[in-house]
Amino acid sequence: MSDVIRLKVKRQDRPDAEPYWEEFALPWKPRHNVVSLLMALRENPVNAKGERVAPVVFEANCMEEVCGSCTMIINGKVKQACSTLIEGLQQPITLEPMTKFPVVRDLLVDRQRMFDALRKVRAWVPIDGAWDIHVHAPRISPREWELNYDFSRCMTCGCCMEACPQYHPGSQFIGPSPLGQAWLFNNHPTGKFSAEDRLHALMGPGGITDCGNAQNCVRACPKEIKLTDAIAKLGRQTTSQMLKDIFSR
Amino acid sequence: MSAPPVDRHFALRKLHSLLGVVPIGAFLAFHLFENSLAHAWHGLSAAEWTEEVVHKIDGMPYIELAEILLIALPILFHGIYGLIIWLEGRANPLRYGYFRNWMYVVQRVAGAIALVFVLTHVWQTRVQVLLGHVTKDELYARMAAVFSSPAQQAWYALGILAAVVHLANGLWLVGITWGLTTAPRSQRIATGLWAAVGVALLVLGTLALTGFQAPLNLAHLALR
Repeated sequence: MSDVIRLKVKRQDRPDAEPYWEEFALPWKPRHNVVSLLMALRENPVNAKGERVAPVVFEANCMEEVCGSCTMIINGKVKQACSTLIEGLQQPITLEPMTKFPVVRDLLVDRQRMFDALRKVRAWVPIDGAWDIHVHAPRISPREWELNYDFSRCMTCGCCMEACPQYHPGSQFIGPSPLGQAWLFNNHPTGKFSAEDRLHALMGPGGITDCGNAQNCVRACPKEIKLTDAIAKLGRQTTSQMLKDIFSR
Repeated sequence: MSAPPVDRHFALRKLHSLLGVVPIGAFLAFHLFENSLAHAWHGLSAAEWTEEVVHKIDGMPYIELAEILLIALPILFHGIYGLIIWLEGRANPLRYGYFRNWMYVVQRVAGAIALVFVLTHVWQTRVQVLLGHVTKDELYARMAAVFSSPAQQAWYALGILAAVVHLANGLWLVGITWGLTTAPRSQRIATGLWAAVGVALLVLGTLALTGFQAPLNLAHLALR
């Protein structure tokens, strides 16, 4: 085992600046993950040439792979930095920001477009009112609950969007994650009431028909959410909605 | 006037998908079938093939209208709109080298090859009939003459392969986008089924490709 950890970071000083690569060498410590390594680098931001540089900017929060904020490209694959252990990674370890979202600085990207897409597909349950409606939450079968729980674990990290060939800054596609959430809320006993609105949002530009079925999303998802199942089921739902729209009004 | 019942973008995508199956996919299967009959395996001579295939189709009512509405226009729309769809994506199979991600690329490349091939093929056959350079009775000899060139035969082999791969994988995609196969197991089975259909169509294509045999005195048609 070597006594240094060699790191190559794709840096960018400003949103409109050109990116550049910078190398670092940090002392080996057992049980480092990528976030703790970047924190160690922040304590002593010196590059491999011995120059003191601005600390590498990154985002991290939960440290247990549930918030999605530390998502970046590590050795060419998109994943969460906090749950990626240094042991077992090939060196030099390359860190890049995700390519599908605008870079704010270094490894920090702006994922706003993904949150906008959640709003577009109404990824919520319209239950909050100004008064108590005296009605209990509807019952749900254990099987449905389990399926919905799978999709509820989406942390909007952006891995599926990063891997998707149809999702990029120049495309209108809302991407796999919001499609999964649209399916989740369409399958929720109360969320069902807005199913038609969600389907119509998905039947516009950038919606379900812009999926290219490369199926990278389901492989890139760190939570193993069955995104391609949701996309195909939404295909069925939008097909039947289309027939309804044409022939039943 | 009220708003259209379905969003234009959605309707165009669905139309593109539907036209790929019927009439285009159905026509491709029929076309490979009828031309496979030119192979000696079926026992048809050049004259019999012309009678069985060319004259029967030519004798169908409204055939010119069908050629335009069911073949030419759907292929042009499917092809041009397909190229637009290709331009909307950023393929990444080198970074994510999964089978389905490669098929995403193959679908687009095969579609483009098939489109260019169909244009050259229609130019060599139907357009030459329109221009009066060849009669429909001479089509067998015309194809035999075209295939006497190894380069042309290779181009036809590539074109048929591209069209069949694009159709077989396209049918797999239709299963998902229209909502029939919604889970990994059914999608895996569909992959095998459509691959088998693709192989069967390639067998027909191979029979067609090797079927048109030119008596030497007809080879001059290639030069006309």
